Amino acid sequence: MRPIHIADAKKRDAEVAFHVHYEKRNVKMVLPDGTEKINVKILKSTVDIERSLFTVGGTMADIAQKIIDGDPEIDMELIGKKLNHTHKLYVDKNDNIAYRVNMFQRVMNPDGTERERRDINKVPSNVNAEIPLRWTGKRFDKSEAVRKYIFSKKYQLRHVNGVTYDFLYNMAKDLHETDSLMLIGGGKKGSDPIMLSRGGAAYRGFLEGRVDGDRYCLILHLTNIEMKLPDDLILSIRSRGCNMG
Amino acid sequence: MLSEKGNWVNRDELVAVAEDETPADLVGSSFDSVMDLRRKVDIKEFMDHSITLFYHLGDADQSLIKAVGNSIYVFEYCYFDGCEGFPAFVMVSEGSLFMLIGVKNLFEMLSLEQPGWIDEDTDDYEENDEELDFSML
Repeated sequence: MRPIHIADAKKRDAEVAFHVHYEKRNVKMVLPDGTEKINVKILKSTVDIERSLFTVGGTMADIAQKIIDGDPEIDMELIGKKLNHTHKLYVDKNDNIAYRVNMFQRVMNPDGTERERRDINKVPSNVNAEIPLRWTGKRFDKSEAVRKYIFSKKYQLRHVNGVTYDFLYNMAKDLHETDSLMLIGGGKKGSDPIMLSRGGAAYRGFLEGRVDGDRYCLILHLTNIEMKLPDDLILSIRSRGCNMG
Repeated sequence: MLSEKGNWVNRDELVAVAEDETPADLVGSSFDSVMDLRRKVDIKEFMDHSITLFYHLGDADQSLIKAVGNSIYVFEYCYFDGCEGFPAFVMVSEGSLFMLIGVKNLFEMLSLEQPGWIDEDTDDYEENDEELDFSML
């Protein structure tokens, strides 16, 4: 289980575990005789082979005919080889491996225009940083939150010892009794987005608590999408006489 | 995909079976017939699901939007003909109708006797959904 460093409403903090378990699907795909299928990765081509095909010159039809006639795209030593552990590489325009790649996250407006570019290489994960994820004090009604945000990721927080059991239980109890979600975030004020991994997506985080006797369930709901229509579509709907609240 | 003997297998050769190896009951494409909104769910049940896809149902008429109101309805959704079905939640947000496709998470009520643990090596964690099986989508 991954560690998460989190603080409560009283700014007491602890490192606990968090994890995800999806419900297992009941249906699986097998071969007609009932035996299991095996997924494999197979090498289809290499950069050198593809480059050699296009350096012979001629039209695309000439190249296609050359492939049909001589199978130059098939290297008997390489093609069809099973691949086990693979890594994603980036290449430059000459197909050489690029070792220093700057990655940007493009933040788009609902109308599809670019709002902002973020250099994501420099943004580390903050779920287990020196500064814990903090309660912002902003509570949200559950019914309102589920109609405003798309929660695409959810994790259960779990105690790792007796002390952290009390710590998480009390958080869950507070949220259960107020029937609300608490917005949490990174940084000193808890206003930074939650980053699960370096260069990963930035999320807003909401804590939900459930309590039943001495048992608890504390869930971190993550979202990076608002359930919102583009302004021009809202105008279009309004012009058709619909009530947009 | 290969068979256990190493022979090439095309996807359309595969058959769907349930856990007990019997032929599975599959759902037809949700676009081939009218989907009845019969079952309502409460907020808790909805919040047990991670949302993987969502759609704005732009052609929904006002009577349907009004009928859904503050409720959340669910039906078994399948894009192609013949899948296990995923829960599709239908709800109104700001006067518009949305459909959200989800996968259910298993959240446990934890007691003191059910502690977790922290893996020692988590530095190379990469965000992904490998645990999530989208092969039926």
